[in-house]
Formats: sequence, C-alpha cells, structure tokens
Amino acid sequence: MRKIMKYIIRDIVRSKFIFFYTGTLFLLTMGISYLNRDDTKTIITTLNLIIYLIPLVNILYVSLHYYNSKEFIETLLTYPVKRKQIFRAEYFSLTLALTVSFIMGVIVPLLLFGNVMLILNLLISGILLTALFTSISLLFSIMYDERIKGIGMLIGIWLFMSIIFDGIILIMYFLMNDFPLDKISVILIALNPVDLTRLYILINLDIASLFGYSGANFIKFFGHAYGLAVSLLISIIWIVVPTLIAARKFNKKDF
Amino acid sequence: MLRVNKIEKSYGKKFRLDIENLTLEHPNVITLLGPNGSGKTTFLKILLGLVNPKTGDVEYKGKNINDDFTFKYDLSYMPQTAIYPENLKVKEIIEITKALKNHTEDYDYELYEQYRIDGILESKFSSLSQGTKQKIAASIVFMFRSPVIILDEPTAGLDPYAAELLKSKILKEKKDKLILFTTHIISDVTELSDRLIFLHEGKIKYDKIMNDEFVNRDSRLIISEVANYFRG
Repeated sequence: MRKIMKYIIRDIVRSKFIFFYTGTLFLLTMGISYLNRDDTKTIITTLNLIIYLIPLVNILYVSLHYYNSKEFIETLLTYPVKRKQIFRAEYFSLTLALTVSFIMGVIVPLLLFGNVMLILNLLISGILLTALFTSISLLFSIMYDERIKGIGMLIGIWLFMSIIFDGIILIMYFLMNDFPLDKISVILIALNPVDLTRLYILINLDIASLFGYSGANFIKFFGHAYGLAVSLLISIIWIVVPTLIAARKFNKKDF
Repeated sequence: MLRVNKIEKSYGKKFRLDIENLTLEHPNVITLLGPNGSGKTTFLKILLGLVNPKTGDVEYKGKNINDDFTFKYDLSYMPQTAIYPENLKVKEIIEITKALKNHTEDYDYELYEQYRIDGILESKFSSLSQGTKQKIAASIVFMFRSPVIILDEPTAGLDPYAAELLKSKILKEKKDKLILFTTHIISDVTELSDRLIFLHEGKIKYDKIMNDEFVNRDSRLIISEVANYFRG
C-alpha cells in the first residue's frame, strides 16, 4: 500500500489544484482573522467556511481524481496487488493531502492569531469532515461509472447536508409543533454529519444561542460532556460506515 | 496455459458474452478479433481479473486467477490507451511498475532502448504525445519477461516504425510466451498470429489455427467473411 501511496501523493502534490486550494483557504482565513479581532467570532466565521467549503471541494476533488485515475487503477489491478490495498492507498492519500491542505490553509493562519484550545476543536472537526467527505465521494464515484451521475449525486448530497436538511427540519418543526419532537430532533441531528460538526464546535464554544432547536435538544438529552463525546462518536461512525461500504464495492467492482 | 471454463457475462438485456470452454496455450500468439461491441474488451477484462463473470471462471496453472496471485506475477498487460498519473515523471512510472511487480533482475530493455525511453525519463507523463505514452506502455509490458502478455490494440496510436518494432518484438518473444492481443487491423492478424479467435455478438464465431494451410487456403475466405461482419 505504501508503494502506491508514495506515487499517488507525489502526483497530487505536483498538481496545481492542491496549491490553489490551500492558498485560497489561507487567504480567506487570514482575512477572517484580521477582520474579527475576537477569538470566538473568528472560530464561528471559520466554522462556516469549514462546513460549506471543505465538503464541496472534497467531493469535487476526490471524485474527479478517482474518475481521472480509473484507467490507472485498472492497470494497477493487473499487477500482483490486492484490491483492498489499492483502495486504501487511494483513500489515505486523498485524505492525507486534503487534511494537510486544510491544516496549512486554515489552522496555520488561525494559530498566528488565536486561542490554541479553540483551534484544536476546529482542527478535529476539519479532519473529521475531510475524512468523511473523502469516503462518501469515493463511495459514489465507485458506484457510478458515469462521472456526470457520480458528481451530480455528490453535489446533491452536499446541498442536502449543508443547506436543505436544515430547511426540512425547520418546516417539520413548524408544521408539527404540537407534537413532542425532542427525541426525534436528537435522532435527526445524528443523521447529518455537517450539523454534528457544527454542534461539536458550538458545544466547545458554549454558545447556546447558536445551537438551534435540534442542537439545544441534543445538549439537553446528553448533557455537555456526553454531547461532545456522542457527537464525536457519531461522526466517526459516519466516516467508518461509508468507507467500509466503498471498500466492499471496490473489491467486487467490474472495471 | 489459461483455461476458460464456460463464462457468461451480461450487461442488461443488450449484451451477453457467452464463451464455451476454451484453452489458450503456450507458446502462442493469439489474436482476438471482432467488430465494436462484440465482447472483446469484456472477454479481455475477464481474463485480466478486472471483470467478474456471472458464471464460470478462468484458470491459470490449474488455479482460479481471482484466488491466486501466481497469474498476476506472470502477467503483463498493455491497455489500449496508456494512462498513468499525469504529474509523474516517466522514470517514476517505470519505478512503480518495477516495485509492484517485485521483479528485481534480468529486465528486458530491448524495446525500451529501441524506443529511446532513456531520453524522456525526466519528462512529465502529461507532456508526452499519445504515441510516446504507448511506447512507454509497450516497453513496460515486455520488460518483466512475463510468460503471459495481453495487449489491447497494441499498434493503434503508434507510428509505422514504432509499430514495426513492436511487431518484431512480438514475433521474437512468441517462442516461449502466450501473447494474446486484440486488433482491428487484418494485416496484424496474418503477420503475427498463430491462432485467430473471432468474436461476434458475445460468441466465438471462428477459432482457427493459422498454419500454412490455413493461411494459403482458408484465410482469405475467413478474412472476407470477417470483413462482412465489420460491414454489418
């Protein structure tokens, strides 16, 4: 696996895109840090950058990388290498490259200005989101041979998790406000890893006004410490499950 | 020796590959011929272990190719279009193939030298023409002295001189190897093949040994029939 990873990472590092992405994140984060002199405000604004931009860039980059590497993967499969090793090499190389971009583009400029403990939580969230969207992107790219279908589905998922999901929950609360929705809202928030990431940061910042109805119920249900642990645990499950399904599909796939 | 045990593979209702028992023996140059959509690529991919047949299997030295790595150590494959990571240098592409093959000595550099790959080792793969990319793939495929070589339209995209060098290499290596290739060029079949397998609509229509008698007497008849299939 390491032999393949070495060359995939070399290929990624030499592409202009990864530098453009890191540079853009760096400039945006520097701008945010410069304009918000308060640590908490900086983290909240950066949080929005992380939960919208990182998933979108991840799905586009990972899926395009997979579709462009498909013929190379086919060639690799004719060598004495196990399919699971090729899948792992792809997954870990992409996650590593995008994580390093995130750290260089977001965490490093924040460290120049802010509170290390608050930044640590942002680092954990960014890494979790990167790993998660790499898994989901690989899964859908493996499932759909046509790149238009695969990328279209992934953009739909990004739209759903980042924007539409919250709208649906709001409408649901509005229409069903006579019913006890406390427990349902806790389940619903676990269904969306983007919301979980947002909640994880907000619990750490202790800003109850930004929790939202679902977030407030989540904290009420689990408490602060448990809420933090549970949101982390569910995020990890969100990474592991799509990765395992993607690996299984890759092992059985007809190329 | 590769043994195909009655394989079937279908893609929806439109296409079905149905190959009866078939043996591909060493040493031999076998051509897989057929019009577009006849099932050549699917059959080749099943032989390479890239596509899983619905029923049946492929055995190499008595073992299922998907259960045993022996075949992959003995196999070299040249795709129709050579695609490697765009940002890697040619020398890195050769390095990775050597590392994955775990083959450490006695490389065959004949085609590599004839194509003067040494002069482009520092070039980025993306900066090369399609013909040069094919030359790299052809050099790699013969480098490991593999007993089984599978080539998908190997001369397509090569200039006439490079194609001649490749054909000479195939003829030179056929004495102790099983070389299977697909083509649409009829002259490649008569120049290189010991055996012709013609596929049409997922089934084998002809499986002929290209001995002198065949070449002198029957080949024109079969080639003209094959041409009729191409014409539809």
